[in-house]
Amino acid sequence: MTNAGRIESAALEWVSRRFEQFAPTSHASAKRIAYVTKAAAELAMICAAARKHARSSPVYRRLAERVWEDIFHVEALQDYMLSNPDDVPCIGFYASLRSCGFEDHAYRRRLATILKSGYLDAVERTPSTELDFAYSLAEAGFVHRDIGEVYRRSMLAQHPSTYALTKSDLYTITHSIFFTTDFGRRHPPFFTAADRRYFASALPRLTGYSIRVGDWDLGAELLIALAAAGVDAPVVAAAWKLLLAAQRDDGSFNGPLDAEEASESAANPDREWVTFRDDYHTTLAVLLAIVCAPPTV
Amino acid sequence: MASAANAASTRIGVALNDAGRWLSGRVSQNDRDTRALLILGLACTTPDDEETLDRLTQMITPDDAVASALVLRAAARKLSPSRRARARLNSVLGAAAPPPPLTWLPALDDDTLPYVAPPDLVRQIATSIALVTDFGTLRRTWPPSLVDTLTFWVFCSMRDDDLDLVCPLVRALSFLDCPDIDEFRDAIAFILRHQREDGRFSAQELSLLQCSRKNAEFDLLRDAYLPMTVASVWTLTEAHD
Repeated sequence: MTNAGRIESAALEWVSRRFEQFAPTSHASAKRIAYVTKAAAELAMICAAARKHARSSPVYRRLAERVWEDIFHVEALQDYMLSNPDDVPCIGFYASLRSCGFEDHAYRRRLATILKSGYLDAVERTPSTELDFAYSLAEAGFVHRDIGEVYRRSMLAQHPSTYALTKSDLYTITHSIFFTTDFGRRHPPFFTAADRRYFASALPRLTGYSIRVGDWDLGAELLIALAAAGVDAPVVAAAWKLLLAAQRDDGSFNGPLDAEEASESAANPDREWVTFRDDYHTTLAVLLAIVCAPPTV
Repeated sequence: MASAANAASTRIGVALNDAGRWLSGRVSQNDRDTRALLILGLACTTPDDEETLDRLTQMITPDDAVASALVLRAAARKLSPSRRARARLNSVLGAAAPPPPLTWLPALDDDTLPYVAPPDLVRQIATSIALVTDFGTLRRTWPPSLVDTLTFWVFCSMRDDDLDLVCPLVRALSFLDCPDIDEFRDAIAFILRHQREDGRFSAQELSLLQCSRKNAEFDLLRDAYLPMTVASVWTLTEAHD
């Protein structure tokens, strides 16, 4: 097994051991429901990506089955998602499981009814969030807006100065690349030569910066963005080396916390929840990077 | 292209003038902690103010020369050979100590160095390039990855709004004769943006204010504005020359 294969297995084990925490209904606090629903949807998305990228580990399939049976099929959760369609990824979650080969006709009908009402179309979104929406609709097999037209209005298409970009801007950029390229499986015809020049100069620098500040979450997302945008740079090999070396003994990866968040986490007595809340996303981000942009180290 | 370079040169000239006025206003409050920096700042901005430079350099003791050797050596280089202040500095500084060994050089072979080097090492590398090249006058062969690595750190320091680290890195690139790099030009613009109305340079003002409120020993002028202004004007003159 390659080094990356061992890292992947350990991370998948961490996710499998903590599967219960990906189930929104296993949490007593109502405040956590939206957060955990998003986590479950992200786990489903990784399983879908693993299938599309023909990842060999059978663990992805088993996880997808558990998400489908133990989480998505809970009627109360479906009611919650469809009652709050703009707060939780009610389309994306369904779309990912559909990409894994599952179908829930009743849920689809209810989703279609909400879409027909026009509410979700009327919601005001930033272009990058709209790309997520359009991508989810496309993956779910619903009519969607022209992704190229939405991209043109996005922050990424404006080629912003890399010095001023905030962390939140960087997520906007990585997500815009994820949704326009289907995580590297599509080469959008609407990317211009200027776009590609910007990707080639900005993405390696931003990846290096994220790795330098120990932000494995953004580092992993930017590695996916680099591969998806077809940019090869020396930072890729170095970033993978450091990223893979950052894995904890239990298979997880440290989430990026600022000083205030770290202090709150250290003081919070609910250790199980804190570990899940702080680290699940980064662990999934690294897995997604292994799936979509596998390292050669 | 030439007119863009001329415009940049003019902007630097104006910035140096304004900074020179601010630095001249600080001369009356000079003390042992600030004297060497003031000399370098004035040598970069008002090198023709012979009277002030004479007065300040006369106060430099051999101990000061040891403690602030890099700063004073840089100042001497900025003054014309005919200036008494230059002769006085060279006399008190004596022969230059051999530059420190480049212990960090082998680390450049590690492709992860740019992403793991702590700020102290980054600063040490930038400083040792100043010394080894004798402020850009001596040429030597460097590993090809050095310029890319320095350029990457300039990028990171600008993202962190770390004027204090941008300056020595940009000077190192100047001493390696690499002004035709996007990050170099961006860094000059970055430094110029950090000049205040009164001519001084500063960054992260909110953190500085918090620091001065929490720590009674912290002196904004001595510990922040003066070092940042001198670092900035020194860097701008190296880029300008």
